[in-house]
Amino acid sequence: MRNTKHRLKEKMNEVFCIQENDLGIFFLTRWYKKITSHLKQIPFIYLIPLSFLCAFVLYLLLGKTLILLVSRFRYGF
Amino acid sequence: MDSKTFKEDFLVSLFLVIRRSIQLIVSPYRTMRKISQETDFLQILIIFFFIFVYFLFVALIRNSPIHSIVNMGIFLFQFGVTVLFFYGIGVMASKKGNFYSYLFTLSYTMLPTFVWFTVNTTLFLVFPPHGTLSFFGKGFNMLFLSFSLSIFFWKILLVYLAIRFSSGWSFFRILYVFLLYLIVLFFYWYLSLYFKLFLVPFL
Repeated sequence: MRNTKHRLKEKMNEVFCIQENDLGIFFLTRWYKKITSHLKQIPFIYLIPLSFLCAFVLYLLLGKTLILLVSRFRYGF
Repeated sequence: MDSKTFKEDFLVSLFLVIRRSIQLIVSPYRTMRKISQETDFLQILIIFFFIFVYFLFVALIRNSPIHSIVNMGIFLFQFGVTVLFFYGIGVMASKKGNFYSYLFTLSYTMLPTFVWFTVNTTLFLVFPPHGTLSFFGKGFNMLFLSFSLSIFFWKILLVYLAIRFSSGWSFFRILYVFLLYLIVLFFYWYLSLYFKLFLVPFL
């Protein structure tokens, strides 16, 4: 029983170690919470499609320059 | 500490580094919260050791053994300045801050960087870049760009969580401090290009 209580206390301290985020404006805070709730677990479900979309938009904007730029960055190690 | 205890401690730390690296992919929020309360310094040493092994790998490709030591020195300088930057601002802004929390969380944010550089170097060996505008050349570069952006977004997410759990700051304060950090980083990057040190900083 004591062990359970101790673990519960530890867990509570862990969860409330930082204050809740408040962005000042109600709808901003609501959107922030909505977006971050998806990023807390397996964020790559959202990050990978977003990356493909960004890459596609960048290609539409920059065209061949983007391909040459990416080739250049491959020497960046 | 006798050698047996050290071995056991090392294995436990290694196991924790591997487990947390996987957990940072699956549940970054919960994992970074746990990392911010960490006190096992062996984990940082293990992370740095993996980074040094990567630099050795690069030195092997470039055929210059001194390269790995120079790169490791530059990396340690960059990392130290980054930790001190965020910790320093944390102390100035709120008169409190746990240095070790910054150290541990920011050490784990090196994981995306490590993954990107390792994959990039391996791909460089397997498919050397030739900048062709053929269909396959374009396709490969677009795939590589998407992969790089995924890693970049993951990195931003981890850095945000690292600062959030180490400092307890709100979203906007983190954003302002991060923008300030990016301005400093931009000048550093520009200098590194000017002196031909590196194209992409290991950060």
